[in-house]
Amino acid sequence: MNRFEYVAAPDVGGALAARRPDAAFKAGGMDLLDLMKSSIRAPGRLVNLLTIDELKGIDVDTSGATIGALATLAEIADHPDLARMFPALALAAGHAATPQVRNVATIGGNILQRPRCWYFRMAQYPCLKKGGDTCFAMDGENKYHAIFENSLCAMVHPSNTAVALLALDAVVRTAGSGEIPIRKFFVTPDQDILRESALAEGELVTQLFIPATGARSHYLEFRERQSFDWALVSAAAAAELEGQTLNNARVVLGSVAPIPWRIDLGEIAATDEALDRAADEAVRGATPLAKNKYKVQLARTAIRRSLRELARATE
Amino acid sequence: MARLRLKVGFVGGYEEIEVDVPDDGPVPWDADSKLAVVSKSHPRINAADILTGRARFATDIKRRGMLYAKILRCPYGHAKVGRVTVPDIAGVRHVEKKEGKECFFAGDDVAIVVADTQEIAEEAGRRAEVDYEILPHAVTMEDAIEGPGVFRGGNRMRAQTRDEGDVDQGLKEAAVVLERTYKTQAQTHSCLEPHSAVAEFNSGGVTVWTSTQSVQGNREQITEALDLSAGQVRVIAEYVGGGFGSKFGAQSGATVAELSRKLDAPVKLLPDRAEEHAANGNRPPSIQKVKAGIRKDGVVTAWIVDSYGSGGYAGGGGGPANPLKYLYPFTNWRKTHVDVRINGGAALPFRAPGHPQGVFAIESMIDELAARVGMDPLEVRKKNDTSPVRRAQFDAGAKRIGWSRRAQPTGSEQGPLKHGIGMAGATWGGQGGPPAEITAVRHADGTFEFHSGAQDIGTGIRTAIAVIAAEELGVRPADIKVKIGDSDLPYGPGSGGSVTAPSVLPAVREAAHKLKQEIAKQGAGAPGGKITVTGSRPEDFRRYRGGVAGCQFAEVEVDTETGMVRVLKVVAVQDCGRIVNRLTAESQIQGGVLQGISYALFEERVLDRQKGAMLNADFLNYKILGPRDTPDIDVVLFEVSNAGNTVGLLGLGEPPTVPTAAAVANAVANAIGARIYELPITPDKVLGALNKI
Repeated sequence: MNRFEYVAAPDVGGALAARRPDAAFKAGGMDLLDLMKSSIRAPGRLVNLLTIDELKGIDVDTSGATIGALATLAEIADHPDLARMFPALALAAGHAATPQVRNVATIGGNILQRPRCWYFRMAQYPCLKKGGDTCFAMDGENKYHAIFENSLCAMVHPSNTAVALLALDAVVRTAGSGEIPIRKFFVTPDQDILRESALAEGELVTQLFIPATGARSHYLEFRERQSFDWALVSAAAAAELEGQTLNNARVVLGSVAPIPWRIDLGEIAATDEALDRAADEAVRGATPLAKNKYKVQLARTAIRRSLRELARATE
Repeated sequence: MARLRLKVGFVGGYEEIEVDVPDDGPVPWDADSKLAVVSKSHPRINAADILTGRARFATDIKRRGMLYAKILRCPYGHAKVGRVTVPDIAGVRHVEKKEGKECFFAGDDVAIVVADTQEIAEEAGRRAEVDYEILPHAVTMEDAIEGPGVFRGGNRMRAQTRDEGDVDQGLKEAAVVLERTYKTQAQTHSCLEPHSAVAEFNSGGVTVWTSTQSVQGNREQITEALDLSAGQVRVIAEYVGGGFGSKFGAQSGATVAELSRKLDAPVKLLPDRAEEHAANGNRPPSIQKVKAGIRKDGVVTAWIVDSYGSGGYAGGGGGPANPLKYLYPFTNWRKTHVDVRINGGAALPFRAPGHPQGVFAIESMIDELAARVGMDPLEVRKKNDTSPVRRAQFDAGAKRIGWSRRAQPTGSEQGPLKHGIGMAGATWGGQGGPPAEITAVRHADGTFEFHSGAQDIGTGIRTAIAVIAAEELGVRPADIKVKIGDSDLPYGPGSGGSVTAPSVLPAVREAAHKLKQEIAKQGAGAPGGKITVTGSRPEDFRRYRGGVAGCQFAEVEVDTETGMVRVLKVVAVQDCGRIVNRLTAESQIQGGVLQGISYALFEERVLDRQKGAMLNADFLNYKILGPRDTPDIDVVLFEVSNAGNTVGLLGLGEPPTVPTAAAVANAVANAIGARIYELPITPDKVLGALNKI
């Protein structure tokens, strides 16, 4: 790890004032320190945000949930109001990493994680995301890589909570431009190969807001190992229920594309047959690589099971 | 010598044998011995030290004025080192470069930097500039076998063939002949403590604290490497954070000893996790093509194996144990093995070398053959396995897992979740033998102390020494102070081949027996002066049985829509000779099962074919089983009274990890009606076997 200067920000203003081109904001530090240890990032200054109380806390009222950027994944997973109103988010936060990590990792940092692609994380692979001219995953070990939107770079977005937040139509509030709807927050490699979010350089995420719509939601993920693993495919589903019909149904898949992959299904009958058909249709456009064809089957199953879970809730 | 009759055998089959033992030695324990301390459960006598951090591992050692060494490693699978430029950072004390070296794997050493702190050494390493001439590489066995030569002398080493009987005749006698190819992956040792070492030279020689499973072997190797004379090297490994076979070599110790001599200061080497994965050992991958024939009555008539294995760039040591004559004494068999060099880190002995990979192929094939002749796979094993111990174990295990439930047709369950049960047999050696020496002391204040130059790599030998001594002396294990892990102590074996306990403990019993005799000679009420005696491991006398029989049964749940496999339960029936400490015996078996499941489902070294680097040299992407992946483990300690020595125990380090992967693979096949031929059994392979991708 490189040498760096350390600034404890007293408040949001102080954090913004401490910015400079080689500075990095540090919240839980889970991802940032990993990046520094593997020499992918070498910031000359770390601006610690954990000292800023106004970025903490979870506030739920009838209009929705306001979640401070520094709320930890453990706080989100264990929050009874979130579990009741937005189960997809609580479940997604609760599935991430390990209890130790969840106690430290913040929601702001979680949605801003850099790719976990092993070629990106190793210095000897000068990939597109590091300013190089090749995606090594294309012809390499791509078992864990993208099956959608993967023609340029095959990374998958690593955030569980991003998948749920996108299904719940959250809004990202920042100290800079104000509000960014989460649908516009994540950017594909085609849009910007060097970044994964629409956040401007030095812009600080302060809060996430989830509007209360009455929609039911659910989150699930498939992984190789049940303890401490990344999802092979995850899914957050949300919809309003009317009789046996799911209205405004949407599923967001995780670990299948460089961004959380949203599929809008509109109005759909909550029958196995209709859901199966929708799942098959949703994965039709997949473009798997040599070693990740199995993810198409996982995606199909994830869509079907997450929607079925919403339907089951009607009984 | 005295002639004694000993009761030997196991539940369901005891007999008496006559043995000759020295007149004045301890009377050997047999099946009828009533023991007060031995075979009970005893917490480790040093548990509090380990739990509170008082226990000192090589990694913990700090010496005044200590310097820190960092090895720079080649990031490519095959490259020639050109110019090496290490930046001149304050605090860097010494640099050694290997310019011109041909590196044969990503992780091969290129230079070493020694600095005042670990951080400075690492920074200098990170900022070093190295010119490489990239050379062609082969990181998979398939690439090495089929592709162009990368190694001088060829990628393939010379074929070795062995055979017995007449395989052609055997194939003719068969009702069914099957040909299958089984593959296993490279598994890294992943010891929690890296291969750390600290060395400090003084006028008398050098003291090396190192994480090793052989303090005596390391002393010899370091003495030779540094051209010192006997007695000038002392190696200390009071506590060791796992070895699994990867910590016999003195590479770390010799490196720091040499640097310490040169720099006239203590030097520490602390490899990081990436170095451990890439460069400090692995279980070699294998490809096993098996052609086997079976008669209608379940007797296997022919077994032909063409196997490949890779010990990495060094070659050698890659062979899977297939066939395993002491599991199935087939009449007609032939084996041809070719070791293949690949551009990967060198293999090192790993907990039952060759056996988990061999047994995976053997026991998968036995299950397939059984299915083809319509027999219960357990019955086929009974037809071919001649061990009376294992046959008794089969029945015990079948009852515990509920083998009769297996009768339901495969895949008949409703819904995507399918359950299956499978099993596999295993065998191992581990009887121990001389030399092993013990010094036993009764201090003037009446306390006891036992010394052994063996080491505890986590198996609990320290406590086992106290248990045997306590039994003989009529005290509690906690009353015995045990000193181990120091080459200046009386000779103890390296901890490999599961021989530590069966080598050391008979010597402990002899020493304790002598001590008791000496105390008696002084007479009751006599003033207690310090008494010191020694004990040695004698050669074995007559033994009832050799070998260590075991079998495991696994129950799994497979999600046929996602390919996810969960192991629900493992019944591990393990021959353990005489149990010394029930608690640590069970713990060894649980650990073996967990490592076996981890091998079956998760662990795999991934080498990149483009640049040759290991892509998952960490604990995020190199996946080791965790708490939520841990099944219910039902350990059945199957005691066999063997005689052979005065204690009659067997080593348990390796045997319990041998059959696990095979049992899991057979359970998966039973659940889904399709077989996975390659470890680890991951969702992509399960879905592939089900034709769902």
